Amino acid sequence: MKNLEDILTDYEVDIKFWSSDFGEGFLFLGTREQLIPYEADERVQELDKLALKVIEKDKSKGSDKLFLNELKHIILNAHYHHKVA
Amino acid sequence: MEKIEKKIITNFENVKYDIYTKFGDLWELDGSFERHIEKRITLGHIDDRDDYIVKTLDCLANSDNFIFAEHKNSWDNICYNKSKSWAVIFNENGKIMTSYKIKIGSKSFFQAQIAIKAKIKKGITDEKFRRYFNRLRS
Repeated sequence: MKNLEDILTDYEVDIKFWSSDFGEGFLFLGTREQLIPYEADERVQELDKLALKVIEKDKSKGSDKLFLNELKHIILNAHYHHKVA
Repeated sequence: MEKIEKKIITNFENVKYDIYTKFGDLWELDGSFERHIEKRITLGHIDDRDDYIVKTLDCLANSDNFIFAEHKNSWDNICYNKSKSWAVIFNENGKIMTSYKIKIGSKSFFQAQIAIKAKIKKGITDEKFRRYFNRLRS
């Protein structure tokens, strides 16, 4: 199993290189899913903010659009729970 | 699915005499190839542009299986896998969407497509298809 540092690096790279219809929406989503147990970590929350900006600008037309919608759902859900807690 | 494979080969035929220079033409979006190269170098999965092309062609020439994902409201995709080590994904236009190192523990193309309700067909990669890329590589 990968450690938190490795997953954070992957997430940061996914965010940095994303462009519409990049073809790797499922990898982007998969990386973020691996961070679900670490959502209380501030580094995850900071990267989530950047990811949301990327998602906001995204104009994907293929299946990436579906994967990014799911990614947005996971991020917003995490932030809701942390605000409530 | 056979239609996509024909389109893939037609697209490669169009660049085969200058494949290293024109490899970017095989990608769906302008500039996408360069961005994918940068990402793979950052991740330490390739050394440089040529290494990316070699790994992509090697995956297609040695692919053991494919997964075809049919969608109602977006592009159909086909993913060729090589020994759970590398994968290349094309869209229904026969254009490359991505070519990447498969990482242990990461979400697979198959799992992801099932989650978005794609109609899936899995199979062994056609021998003629593999032979085409073997010839192209050499």
